[in-house]
Amino acid sequence: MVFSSMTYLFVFLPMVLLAYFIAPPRARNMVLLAFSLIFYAWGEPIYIFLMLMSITVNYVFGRIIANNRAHHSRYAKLNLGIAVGWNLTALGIFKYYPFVSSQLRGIGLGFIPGLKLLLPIGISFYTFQAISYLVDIYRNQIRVQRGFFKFALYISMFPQLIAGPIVRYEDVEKQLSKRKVTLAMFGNGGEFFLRGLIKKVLLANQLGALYVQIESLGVAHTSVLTAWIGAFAYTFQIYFDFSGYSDMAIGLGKMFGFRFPKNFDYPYTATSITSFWRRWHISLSSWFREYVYIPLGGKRVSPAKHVRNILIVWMLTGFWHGAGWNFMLWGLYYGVLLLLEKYVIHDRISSHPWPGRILTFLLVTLGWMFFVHTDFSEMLTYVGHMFGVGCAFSNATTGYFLRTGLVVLLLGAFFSTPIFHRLNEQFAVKYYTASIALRIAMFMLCVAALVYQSYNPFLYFRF
Amino acid sequence: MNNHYKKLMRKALHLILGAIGFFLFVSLLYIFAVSGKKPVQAGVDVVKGIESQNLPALLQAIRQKETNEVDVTLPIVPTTEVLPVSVPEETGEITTPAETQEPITVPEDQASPTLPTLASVTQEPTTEPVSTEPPLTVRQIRINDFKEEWNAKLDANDVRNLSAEEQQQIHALFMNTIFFGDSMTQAIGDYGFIDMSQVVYKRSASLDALKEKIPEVAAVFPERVIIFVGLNNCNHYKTPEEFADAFTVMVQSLREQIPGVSLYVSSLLPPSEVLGSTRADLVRAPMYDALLNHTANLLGVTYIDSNWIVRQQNYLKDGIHMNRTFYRVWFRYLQMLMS
Amino acid sequence: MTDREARERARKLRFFRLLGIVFVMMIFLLAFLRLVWPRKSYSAQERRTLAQLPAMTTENLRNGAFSNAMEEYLADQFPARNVWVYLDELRGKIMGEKYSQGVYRCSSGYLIEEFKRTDDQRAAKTTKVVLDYLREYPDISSYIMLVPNASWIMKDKLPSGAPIDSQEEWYTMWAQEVKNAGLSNLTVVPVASALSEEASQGKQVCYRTDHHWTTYGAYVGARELAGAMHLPFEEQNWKQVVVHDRFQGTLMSKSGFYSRTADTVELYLPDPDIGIVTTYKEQQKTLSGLYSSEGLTGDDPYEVFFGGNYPWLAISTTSKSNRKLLIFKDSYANAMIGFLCPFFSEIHVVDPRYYTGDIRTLTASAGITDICFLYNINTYYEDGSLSLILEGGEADE
Repeated sequence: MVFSSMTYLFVFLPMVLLAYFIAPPRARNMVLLAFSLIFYAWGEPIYIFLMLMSITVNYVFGRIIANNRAHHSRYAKLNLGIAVGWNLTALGIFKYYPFVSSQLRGIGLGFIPGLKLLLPIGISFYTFQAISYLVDIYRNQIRVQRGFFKFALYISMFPQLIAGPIVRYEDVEKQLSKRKVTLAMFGNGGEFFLRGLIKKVLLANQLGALYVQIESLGVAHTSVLTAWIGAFAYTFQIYFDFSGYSDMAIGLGKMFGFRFPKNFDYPYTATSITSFWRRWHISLSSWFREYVYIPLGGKRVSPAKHVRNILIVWMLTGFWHGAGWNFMLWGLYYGVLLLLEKYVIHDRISSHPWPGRILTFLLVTLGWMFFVHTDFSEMLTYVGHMFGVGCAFSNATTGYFLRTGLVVLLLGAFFSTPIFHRLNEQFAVKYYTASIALRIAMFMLCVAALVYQSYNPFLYFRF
Repeated sequence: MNNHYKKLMRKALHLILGAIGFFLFVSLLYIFAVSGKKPVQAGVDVVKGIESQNLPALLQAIRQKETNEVDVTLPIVPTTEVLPVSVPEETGEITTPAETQEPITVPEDQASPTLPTLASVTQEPTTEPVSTEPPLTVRQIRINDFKEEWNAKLDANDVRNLSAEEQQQIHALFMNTIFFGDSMTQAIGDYGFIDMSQVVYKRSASLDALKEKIPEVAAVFPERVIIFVGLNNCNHYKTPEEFADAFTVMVQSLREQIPGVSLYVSSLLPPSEVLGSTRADLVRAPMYDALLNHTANLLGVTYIDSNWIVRQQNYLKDGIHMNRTFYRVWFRYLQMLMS
Repeated sequence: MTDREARERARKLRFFRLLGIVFVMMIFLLAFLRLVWPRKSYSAQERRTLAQLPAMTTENLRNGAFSNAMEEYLADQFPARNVWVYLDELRGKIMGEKYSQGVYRCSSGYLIEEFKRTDDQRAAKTTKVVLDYLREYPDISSYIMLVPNASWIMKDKLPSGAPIDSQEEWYTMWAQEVKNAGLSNLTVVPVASALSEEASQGKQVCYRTDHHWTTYGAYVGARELAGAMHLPFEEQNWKQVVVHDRFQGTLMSKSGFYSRTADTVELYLPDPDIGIVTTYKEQQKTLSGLYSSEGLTGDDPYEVFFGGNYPWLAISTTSKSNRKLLIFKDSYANAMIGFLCPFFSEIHVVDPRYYTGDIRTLTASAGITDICFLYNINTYYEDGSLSLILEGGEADE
């Protein structure tokens, strides 16, 4: 189930809200857990068993590691290794095995059986969450969770279950046991949720439609500018899609009294690639920094090793986003850019933020084109078009897309900056009734867009 | 504090009411923009008027027209000079430029798509009226001409398949005909002699039960209906007289519902010898058939005597139904009778 | 904390509290309305049946089919669904969206379907099969008329620069191909220039909201065809009858775009009247005339012509002509056949998309004197059924 669905908005959400606030405070964790499991099982019920197994294994190993971390550090380490290994194996089998096996078969190792597995939803997220929990216990940074159901809730909590943010245990430890929701906090959650819904339904989907239309243009119609318009459309789409989802998760968390960390911080206003990655999917980049980059030695090693570390981290980051060479390429692209920034450009760029901001944005846009094309020849064609290989600079079709995409692209740009949110906040304080009316209107537009998605005329009359 | 929340609630309520109001406003816009898709009543009346024309009369006019002489002024050919065709007098035969000894030369620039094509000129009015089908009569006289030869072939089980040409002739001949009956008729469609769209049947139905299918026959206003029923009727009707009465009723009802239709009925075929020896009720089939023949003659329904085509080897295993070979001969026979 | 900050904070809190209340009210209001809203089974707008509450079985729960069916059901049965769709359309219009489901929102209230040259091979194959078929009947005069769609005729209405492939380019190539085949009995009947001419004089030849041509457009097409067939078309008078003046066609349904300018559907009846009888061969029914009041009052008023598309129609007329026409057609022909009736004694109308019989038997047994292929370019280009039925016959022989 996704948040921007009819089932979620008008069946699941009212039910969970009703059940949660009717239930006595002590039972609320159980209510949330039960609904979380239903939420997870909704699309692919089979993988609920994988989820339950993952919870049990991590719970048990968490306890074992905690019990031994003081005196038997090697034993604790061994158990940590086993538990992390188990998590990575599950991830590897379900997420990477189909890809890896097909690659190996491709190079002549035909004896490797191919498997057709559906990717369990959210496995990348909850696996990473579990690993962070185990490592943090081993490092003695957190206390172990003794309550099984509380731990189960930490792993499977539905707001952040399927698309993050990757919540670290220390962020929610206290709230798992004791939390309070005030009406204002609930309203604040609603604000986040609405914002996310608007981003997803009104911006991301429209931008996506624009990109798809440009992507599928024949060579006869495309041009350099059109290709760039398409690339910008996708750049904004993925931001609104992902950050919208994170916003909804954070909002829902707030409605139930959890405070999840911020996942996006206006990444497209970043003035450098380094800063971009401090602002984009923050919970993931900090996970990699915490559990891969720093254990490898971070930057307090020789430059050669540092280069190695960066490349490893970014290769993994790329690969985390999907099982495909293009994701690896995309990760390495950022690895290289970051190294260039670190060793070549360094502080040579002007102190004025705009050149860096624009350059960063263009590089990120280009990066998304590696990200989105799983097929290399398509990727080359599209990126080629962006640089004028085999097409004109602009043509009549460019004008068409400029005109029809202008509003949504401008809205995209506007919503990517903090300016909007500042204005919005001031407006809300000054004219709060009007602000609420505006939100109701936006919510209605979201519902309309969701209903329209199901608008699906039967086309027998096409002839 | 309590007061404070009351105020908030009131405000929230107003806002929600406002939203509902807005939604109703959009609904009104929607109704204004999208609804009211009713057609113009006067137009509907015109269409209904056309639909409710008197079909039988219309069909009669169309069918009778075909027996009229063709209006020689149609179609009109624009110029005679460009015609690349010579029309020999008297014969009415048309030859193409390639076949004429002295082709009329056509200027180069005229040899364009505007040039009347060969076939359109085939329709060129000729001095001879186009031959049309003569009124359909069954020519009993000629039967003896071929019966002997065919009997010999049937005895020798030497019946060849229908050629594609024969098949097409049969199609053309029965364009406006409906075959009507029980499983004996169904076979006509199943074996593919006639398109299923021209076959109306009900399996194992007595004549009474068949009556419910008459509206289906009537729906296409066929020029003729060929009835072919089988031995179910010997079970269903205790006596040949009852059967004949039922037949009379059916004919009347067909004629009522399809004015101007010509009716034909094929023989009620006997069971195979094997089956006949075990089933006393079916032995009387020839009596039923004889009375059917008689009744048909009285009613003005053309009786098609098909008994002579029956050969023991052409029965299916059940001893009632006939195989493809029977129907092949049957159709050739019908063709002989009707063309 | 200063007074001002405290005040702002208080207002902020009040804002969030109010929002919290409103949010819950909205969600629950819609959830409640959804529960009590009467279920509908059919959407006239989309011309399809709407999803119903799915039955829960272990099988569909296990494979996730249940959740998809549930989502479909909720969306299809959403309270006042059409109004929401309309609201989204308004939003799209304000945001400048011009394209939906292959349809462009154009000026003067026109909705125009795109033409995409995705697969030239399929159309080339159709053409080849058609030519092969016609080659078998050198004595029958044959005509082929491909009707350009609105994206050609009304191209000045399209949003400028819209990425639509040129029908004209394809048609020119196709016409050359047919010409090269050198069939002496085949006439290609061009109609684009005549239609464009009429359109430029302000006549409406394409519907605004439907992919068909108007009856006037069909009249122009018939005039061109009649010219090629040497029919005395100009001598015939027609009586115009308006049967619908708020016609909202299939393109509107398809795209979800609303065109506020409704169309008018007209019939042209021969004057003086002639007798026409239509037999719906596979449906085994015979009706008088060519029109269906049921179609006219139904969801798609264009179905006033024959009540829709049927595999095989046999039309007989009181015309004294001795010519018999066989038409292979798509729905464009439905509006045009009426114009041909006074000039043929019989017209067999075959829609290859539904026809399953043997086309060669029909051609030979019905006494056909003229064959006409009448398609709009979009269908001819995209639909493979024509080559299927014409080829099927060959395979049998």
